[in-house]
Amino acid sequence: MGFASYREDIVSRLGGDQRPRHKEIRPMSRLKEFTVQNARPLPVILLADVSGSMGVDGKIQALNHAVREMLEAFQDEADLRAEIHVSVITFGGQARTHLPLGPAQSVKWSDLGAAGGTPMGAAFDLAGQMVEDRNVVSSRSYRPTVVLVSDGQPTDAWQQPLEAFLASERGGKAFRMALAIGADADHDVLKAFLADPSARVYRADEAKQIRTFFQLVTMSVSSRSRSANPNSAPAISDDGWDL
Amino acid sequence: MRVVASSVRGPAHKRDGSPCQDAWLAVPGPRASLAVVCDGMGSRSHAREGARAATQAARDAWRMWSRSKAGSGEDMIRLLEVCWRLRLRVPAEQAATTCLLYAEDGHGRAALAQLGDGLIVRRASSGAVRVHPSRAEGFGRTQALGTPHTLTDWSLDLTAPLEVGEAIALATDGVSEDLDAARLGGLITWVIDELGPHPHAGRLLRAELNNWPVPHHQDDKTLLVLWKTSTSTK
Repeated sequence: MGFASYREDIVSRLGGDQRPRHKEIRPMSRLKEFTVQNARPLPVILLADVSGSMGVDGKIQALNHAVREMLEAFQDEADLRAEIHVSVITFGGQARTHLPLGPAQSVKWSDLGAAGGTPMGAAFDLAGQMVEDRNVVSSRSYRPTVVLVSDGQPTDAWQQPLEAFLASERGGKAFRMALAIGADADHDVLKAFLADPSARVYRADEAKQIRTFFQLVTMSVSSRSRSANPNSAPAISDDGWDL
Repeated sequence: MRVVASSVRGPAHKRDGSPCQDAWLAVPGPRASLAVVCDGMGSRSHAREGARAATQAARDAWRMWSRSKAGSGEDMIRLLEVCWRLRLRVPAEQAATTCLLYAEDGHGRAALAQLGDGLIVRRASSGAVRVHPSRAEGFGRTQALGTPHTLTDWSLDLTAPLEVGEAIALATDGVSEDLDAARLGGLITWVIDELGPHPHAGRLLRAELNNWPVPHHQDDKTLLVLWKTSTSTK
């Protein structure tokens, strides 16, 4: 045998657990100094249409109620593999970050109001910037879930921002869900956001179905955060939901 | 050369009674050395076999590579891929595994190679650290032996062999995802200075990995540190 095999059978080990055969005096553990002390985040980013049309038929009230319920459900979750982080980006008149990305456990929710046009393209820009920013969505994070909720047609140029979001290194890998509220929602835009022929745009013809949709989102996220691999697609069937 | 390394099962595999799907192998020879860690993909039924076969395939390929002054790093990787398939007794796609290695050829060359998630970091004698750039796609989408990939999906770098006081650390993502990037050098120094002198350093490291301090961690964990001591060349 050549030099290459020297000592290898003495020092090489294949992975496996073996118990020490006797007690030893151990150096003090210092691993805490070299590791981060929080669980890996699972980001959930909601892109919420808060244009003026959301102010009629109780839609904005239903959205506020549904989001609050979702946050409470996340806060009640225990024994998760991931720490759920939530952000809300709104687009009504202008796109802005209503809730910066942070742990669901510490979210202080304030209700959304409805006014203005539907600058969905600007919201895609904001979402793209958020997902690509390693200081906001760290490299430890599991794949984000991005949820788009809208009741109307975009009033700005949305194609290029959406293409940029989907083509970005991380945006395109996010799990995406979309809800069309009412008959005036632009299904084509929402379908383009999903960018998956097998994915479905959910429909809420009544305000109460907004709540149902967010229950589905909650189950989907909770299922991932409990699963052996939260980066895998959630094992939730969307059959039987009134959407 | 000295090496301290260990693999442990993560809580998820302990709960469901599955074995550790990480594997490591080190050959800290007097002239040429090899260190390799592999992380079998948990979704594959033969991930454990795949990871073990990959460590052995890396050794097969390194032996041939280190006997040739002309062979390129790419040659070693190609050979590793072939050896891995030949060693497997199960379908390759059911044994998918990441593979990270550091190899010295004994002729003044060293190779760093990585396919998939995990971490390779080199600490200079000055304490400066350099993280080997990974081509892993993030968010759990990783290339691996046994998944469709090409040679260009390997992150391969030819470099100088370790000098006295230098060290290489290899880690699977169960470890690397939870490490503080600013404290990588400190981690390597701790392993070398505090665990290294102990006669059962590997066992101590295993105990540390079994008491991983990050909340909600689930993955199998492998950490390997290889360093050159002042007496390594004697």
